Order: sequence, then structure tokens, then C-alpha cells
Amino acid sequence: MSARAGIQATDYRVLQAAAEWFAVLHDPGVSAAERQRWQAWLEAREEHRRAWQQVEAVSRSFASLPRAGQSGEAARLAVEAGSRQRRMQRRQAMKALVLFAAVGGMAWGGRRLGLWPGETADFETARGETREVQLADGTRVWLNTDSAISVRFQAGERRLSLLRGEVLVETGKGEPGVDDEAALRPLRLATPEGLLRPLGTRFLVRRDEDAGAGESLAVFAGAVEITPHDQPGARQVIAAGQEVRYDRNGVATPVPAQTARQAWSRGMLVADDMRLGDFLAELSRYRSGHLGWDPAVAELRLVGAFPLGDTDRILASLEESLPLRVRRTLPWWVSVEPR
Amino acid sequence: MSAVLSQSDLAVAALYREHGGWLRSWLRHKLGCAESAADLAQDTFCRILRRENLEGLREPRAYLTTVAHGLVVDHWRRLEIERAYLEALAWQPEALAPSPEERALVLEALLEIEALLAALPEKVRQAFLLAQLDGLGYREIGERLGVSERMVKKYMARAMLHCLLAGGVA
Repeated sequence: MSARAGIQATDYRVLQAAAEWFAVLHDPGVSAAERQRWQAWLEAREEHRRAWQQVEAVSRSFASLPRAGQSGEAARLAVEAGSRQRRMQRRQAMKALVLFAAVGGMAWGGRRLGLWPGETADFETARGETREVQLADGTRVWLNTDSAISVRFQAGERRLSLLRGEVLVETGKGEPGVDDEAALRPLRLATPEGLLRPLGTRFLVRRDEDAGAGESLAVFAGAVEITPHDQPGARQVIAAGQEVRYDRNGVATPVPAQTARQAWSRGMLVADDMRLGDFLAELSRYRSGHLGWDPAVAELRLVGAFPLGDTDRILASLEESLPLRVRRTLPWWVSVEPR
Repeated sequence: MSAVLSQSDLAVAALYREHGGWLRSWLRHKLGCAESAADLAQDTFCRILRRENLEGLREPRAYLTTVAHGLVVDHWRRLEIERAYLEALAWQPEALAPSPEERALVLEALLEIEALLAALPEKVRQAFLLAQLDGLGYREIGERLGVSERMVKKYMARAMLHCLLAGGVA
């Protein structure tokens, strides 16, 4: 770094010439005649040789990086990502200044919320579909039927947003092909009602379709901290084996978590002494069209594990094992009635 | 202990005593990670130690956060470079993948290279990196960037001059 301070005008011109020669010689298509001219330039003066040594020192520092295969490309992509980040940080700093000038500290409040209107989904499932996604840091996310998340891996944090539906999240580390560095960044899951901070864990969060119904969180390993958006003071840590309902205003009292809740991630719907009404409500999430039931059957109890791949078959098997019948008024209008 | 502490060292020590804990929690809030926060708080004070006198500092916390914020930004960029590098490596056959030690060395070099080239215009930087890291010829670079070979050569000279004036990569 000492070179900068004492550069003389002549030095500058020599360095400039050296840089131009570098550009000529670096091209694989350089001609023999040009090489000779460069040789002549090099031998002409001592300071040319010194300048050229500096060029070689710079080149060496690049050549020492692995260039074999695609490593060189990986290196370049990394540098470019760093530069992009730098530009973004600069823009953010500018934006922050502008916003501060305009609205004081309000910008930060919005940022912490993390859910921007119109945020687009990175992964989503259609009704009846479930999907497993492995993220770059090894975190595995299962999306249940009709669900959507967005994923933002930023420098300071890994942020998932639940846009709709239900996800099971398993934070991962130390698996092959996993970006361990990313895994060290804090993970957050933002939902419309609150912000979840998992602490090395497997947990499930579900947003109910009816507006105002809130969300539920079940933790199967580790712990998750919930911060309701409008009552950050009501923050609460939910430990493994607990399940809780919450919304933007608060967190209810936790109850023991039902492990069967995560069965859908393996393509199963598990009923452990479940009310048929609850079971059918669950099932209807995987089907398009209407699925209704007569209150007379709602209180029937059910035990079993049902593959979600074919919900019509599930209905048929209910018909076999319980005193009910399934009536199809239209292909997409199904009612369950007492037999 | 016979070491003589300068006036400014004492001022830093006082700053550390009074605001160290506060700075760590400020950083923890920014980074969401206690360990990184402790590291960066340390770095912040190291950096301040190397600077001039602190006497008459009116807003110590504003000063600390200004220094710390710069380090936070560097920290994030570092993570981003690491992330991008490891992600890109994940796409290549295992046989070609560098060992963890090699990776650590490469990452250090990449951080320096990024900082060295940051001030260059985008296309100049891209051309230089494509040549130096991907080993592409000028024609191919020109095609990728949508410029002539002559222009690529100019970019190369400009980037090299920039590196020479900066004293090269350490």
C-alpha cells in the first residue's frame, strides 16, 4: 500500500505503460511481434522492469487462486456477489438517510416487520400438493397444501416468510453440500401475525385460512421465540413438545404438541383418536371443491394413518370403516352423511 | 506491569468500560448473534485504539456506532462472499472442490480482491475477473459483456493500473 503515497508523474506513466503491456500480453492471441516489442520496452530501462515486477505480483495473487475446473468461476461469482452487496449497502445507506430525513425513525419499524405487501413466493404448493425444499444452508422446509413461502438469504440473516398455509421447518447443519457459513446466520420466519426466531429446531407453523383466525406453532425440537407484530412485549419462547396459538396481539397458553401434526410432511394424515369433523376439515385442505359433512357424523372418532396422495381413497376407506356414506352430488361437491 | 499507557489508550479503556456492554448489545441486536457481536465489539475498540486522541469526545455512543456500523457492513459483505463462493462450489464435482484450508485461504484472497476492485466501473471489473479468474480470452469476454475486443483490452489495462496504484493485493 506504500506505492500510492509517493507516485511521481513519471512513475505514473511507467505504471500506465506496464498496465497496457499487461493487457496486450494477457490475451491468448498475442503475436510474436508484440512480444518482441514488449521485451524491448522491458529492457530499455530499470524502472520499466520494476513496474513489470509489480504487474507480475498482481497477476500472481490472482493465479494463486484455484483456476482448475469451475473454481475460478466460483471465485469470480463470489467477488461479484461481494460487489453487489457493497452497492446494495451503499444504496441502503442512502435510502436510510433519505427516509430518516423524511420520516424520522419510521423506516426501521417497517424494516423489522419484514413483510412487505406483495412479497412474492419463492416456493409454493397447489391445493393437494406437499413439497419438500432444502435451502442452501441445509434448512429443510416442507410446504403443506396450498402454502407459500419466500426465502431471503441476506448477509445479516436468513429470512423466511410464510405467505400462506403451513410449513414444517427443520434447521440443519453439517450436512453434505450445505453452506455452513450461511447456517451461522440467524434464521427468522416472518408470518403475517408475528416473527419467529427458531433456536436450532424442528417446528411447524400454520396460518389458518379464515382472516382473524391467527396462527399456530408446534415445536418438536429445540425452541422458538414468537414476537407478535403489534405486541413485541408479549414475546414468548415455546419449547419442544409445546404447541400454541398466537396472533399479532399475543400468545395463548401453550399446550402439549401433537406429533401427528407433522405427518403430512411424509405424505400422511394421521388421526389419533380424532373427531371426524376435525379430520374432514383437515382433509378438505388438500382437496379442491367442496367437502361438507353432516353434524351427525362430526363427533365420530377416528384412528389411522392415511396417505394424502389420493384423498378420494381416504374418503372411500372412511366409508368402509365408519357408519357413514360419501355422496358426490357433483365431482367437486362431496358430502359425508350418516348411513 | 511496567507498560506505559498513553493518554489515548486510557481514554479507550474508559470508553470500553463505560460503553462496551452497550455496544455489544447494540451489535447483538444488529447481527442477531452474540458471538459475532462480541467479535465485532472487540474489532471496534481495536480500530479506535489505532486512531487519534479521543479526548473531548462528546457523543461516545454515536462515535462507537459509526465505527461499529462500518464493521457490521464489512461483516455482512464477508458473509455474502463466503455464501456465494460456497454456493458456486456446491455445483461442481467433489473431486474439484478445494479442501477447507484451501477454501479459507481463497476466501481471504477474494475479500481482498473484492475490496481492491470495488472502485472500478462494473464492466471493467467484470472483464478483469473473467480474464484473471475464469481464464477467458478477450474475444469471449467481449461477447459476454457486449463490447469489442479492443474495449476489453482497454478495460484490462485500466484494471491493472488501478491495482498497481493501489499497491496490489497484499
